[in-house]
Amino acid sequence: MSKTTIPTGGIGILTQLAFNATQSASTNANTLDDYEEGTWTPTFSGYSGTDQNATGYYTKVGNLVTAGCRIGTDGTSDASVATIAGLPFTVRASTEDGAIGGGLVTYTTGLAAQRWYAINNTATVKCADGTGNDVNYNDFGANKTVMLIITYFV
Amino acid sequence: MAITKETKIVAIEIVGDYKIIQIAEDIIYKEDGVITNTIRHRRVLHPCLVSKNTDTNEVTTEWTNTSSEVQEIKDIIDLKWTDEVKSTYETYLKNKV
Repeated sequence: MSKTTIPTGGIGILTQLAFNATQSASTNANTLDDYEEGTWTPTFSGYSGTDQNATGYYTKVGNLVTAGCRIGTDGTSDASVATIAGLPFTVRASTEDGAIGGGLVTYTTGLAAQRWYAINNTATVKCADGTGNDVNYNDFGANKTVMLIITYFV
Repeated sequence: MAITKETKIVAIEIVGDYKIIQIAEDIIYKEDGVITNTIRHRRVLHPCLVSKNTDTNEVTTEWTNTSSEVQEIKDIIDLKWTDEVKSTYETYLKNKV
């Protein structure tokens, strides 16, 4: 691939900078090699009910994804661990889940003490309570909503 | 004035040992044949997902239903998601629940 050399004094004002849909990953720590913004569809994994009002947006800069979403439960009783699937990119492989990604709850009508952490090698985040125990859909609450900002490495 | 919407796959990526498939699609809106807006939509296909019922401790594997995928993606799935890959990934996820 041919490259354009940028003067050492920097470049002037750009109006746009385009990247390919498929990342051309760089091994150089100081190289920006990807940018993308779009939508994704969050789903409750293993949930026997019907997801409510599921919407999601994301921006990826380099190897860091920031994804926002809204999703809700219906009135179905289900004791499966609450997990949101459908993240736009696969969470990076790592030795420990949650160490390279998680969610910030910006609004919820469900369980107050909910934490969401990214599961490595999946496109999911799992729910735990304030002490790290699994939260299931019944704990989360029927007819409840959560809005999250999820940040993780790929 | 005719407004149309079409979806076009712009990237298919295979990620990691478990052959997770990342798909980027552009949703293209046109007015009288002229593009007025394009939205990138992303989705990820794993061989399976595993869930645990905390009341019974039963662990359930949900294999990804790929029947509605286009042939191009089905062909990649057939090639990459071997029985060994699916089995290894299921075991990996079960060890996490």
